Amino acid sequence: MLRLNEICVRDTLKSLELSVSVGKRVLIIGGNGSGKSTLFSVISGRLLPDCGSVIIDGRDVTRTPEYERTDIISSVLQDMKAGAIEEMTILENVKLAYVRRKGDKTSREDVDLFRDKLSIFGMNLENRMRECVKNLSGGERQALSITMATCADYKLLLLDEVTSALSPRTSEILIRSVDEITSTERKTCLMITHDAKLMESFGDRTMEMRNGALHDQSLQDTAFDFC
Amino acid sequence: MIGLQELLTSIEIGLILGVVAIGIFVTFKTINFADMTCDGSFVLGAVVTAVTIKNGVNPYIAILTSMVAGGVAGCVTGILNIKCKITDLLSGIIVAYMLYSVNLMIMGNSPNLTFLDNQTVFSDSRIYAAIVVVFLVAAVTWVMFSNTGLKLRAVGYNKQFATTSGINVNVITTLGLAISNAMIAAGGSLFSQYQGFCDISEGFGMLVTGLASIVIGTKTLAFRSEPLLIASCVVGSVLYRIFVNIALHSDALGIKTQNLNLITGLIAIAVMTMKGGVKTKC
Repeated sequence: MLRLNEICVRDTLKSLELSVSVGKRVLIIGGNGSGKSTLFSVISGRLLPDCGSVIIDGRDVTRTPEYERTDIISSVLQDMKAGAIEEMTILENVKLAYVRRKGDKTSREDVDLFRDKLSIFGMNLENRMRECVKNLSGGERQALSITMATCADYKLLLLDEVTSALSPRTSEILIRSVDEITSTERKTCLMITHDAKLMESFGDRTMEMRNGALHDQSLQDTAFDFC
Repeated sequence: MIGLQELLTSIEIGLILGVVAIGIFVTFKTINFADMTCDGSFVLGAVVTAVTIKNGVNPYIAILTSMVAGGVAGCVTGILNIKCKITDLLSGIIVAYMLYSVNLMIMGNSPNLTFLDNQTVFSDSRIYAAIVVVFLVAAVTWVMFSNTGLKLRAVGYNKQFATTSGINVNVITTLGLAISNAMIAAGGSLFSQYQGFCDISEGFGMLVTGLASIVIGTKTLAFRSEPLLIASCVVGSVLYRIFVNIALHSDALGIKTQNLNLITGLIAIAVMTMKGGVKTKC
């Protein structure tokens, strides 16, 4: 599903190789400055690698602009302000989330589907659709961002330290919900985290970013899963 | 105090320049782009209209032609900003600066052009001009309520989020600039038809008066829905013209016509520092 071939970015990523098959959830750990977020920038198209190629679903997207990759890649960043527009209501953000679909206006069915997905988080957000995003707590914002990222069609979900600023209880709710969404829809997911607890509860595979390359941490997995 | 005729004149000019205020609203408020093309694209609209009408073109077609010219000017500002990496402020200033020469060329190197004897939208009845203004306001409001409007607002609020939502920020920014300058040019077109002539320097200060109108409008007619704030710009423009007229006709204040820019600035400052105002949903 996702294959990275000899990706290099200055001194951060050095001939990095990765292959993830459909429906697999991969946790990526590593120290500060090890290049985890740079890796996500390369996959999402924010950063053009100095060498190597990014293949998603058999298509070489190395030079495809970020906005054009959004029909296959959804991402939620650590920065809570980047996941939704705080000057708009939840409902307006929902409409924006469906813009990715490149279709016509958001239908009532779309909104209902969004409400259902939002209810998975158990934060009662589905009944507060006309509330401004800026009035939401950090956990609620991330729940909204994850729902927005997963409501329209996508093949790969990138989560960059989405629980870093949240309480352990809220983090647990978010991760459980992400687990439910990605496993039900059988979506491929890559998640960067510093949370050691997550390694036990989420993902099929854990990889560590070290010296600009990814190293498998999971004993039961082979070195790489090829598509 | 001002008489009824002067009040009506203020309302008329206020409605015409309200279209300009809408254009400025689209760039400064919606897509968050400090576009200084305004002073140039306003005159561009006026001169294109003057030349086309003098050549026997239908006045409504002249407005459309002006809008296309203004839209192109907006696109040039966008290209300078996006492709040449020139800051938003500077790219607008450069385009407005170059438009001075372009406008002179369009007018055949004459600094002004009169077309008092030609047919304009004001010739038969002023109601037709009012319909044009209502149509333009409705058109922009409709765009703002559409998916395109949502994209324009998203780009203005959060470019990174817009990109991750699959929005081509460059295209939407250029589209916003094109809509904005098309509206400003339409305002210039209506203004020149109202006067029956156009002058190369009539765009001077248009940006400040437009911004003052937006502030007055959004403070007095604070709609909760952001797309509806477009209508506030027109109301603000009319109120601004009435304020200026009252100030200039008030003997007690001793204000003369040459003090107009000072008055405009003071009105803008006074309204901007006023409490209250826009009560959008968020």
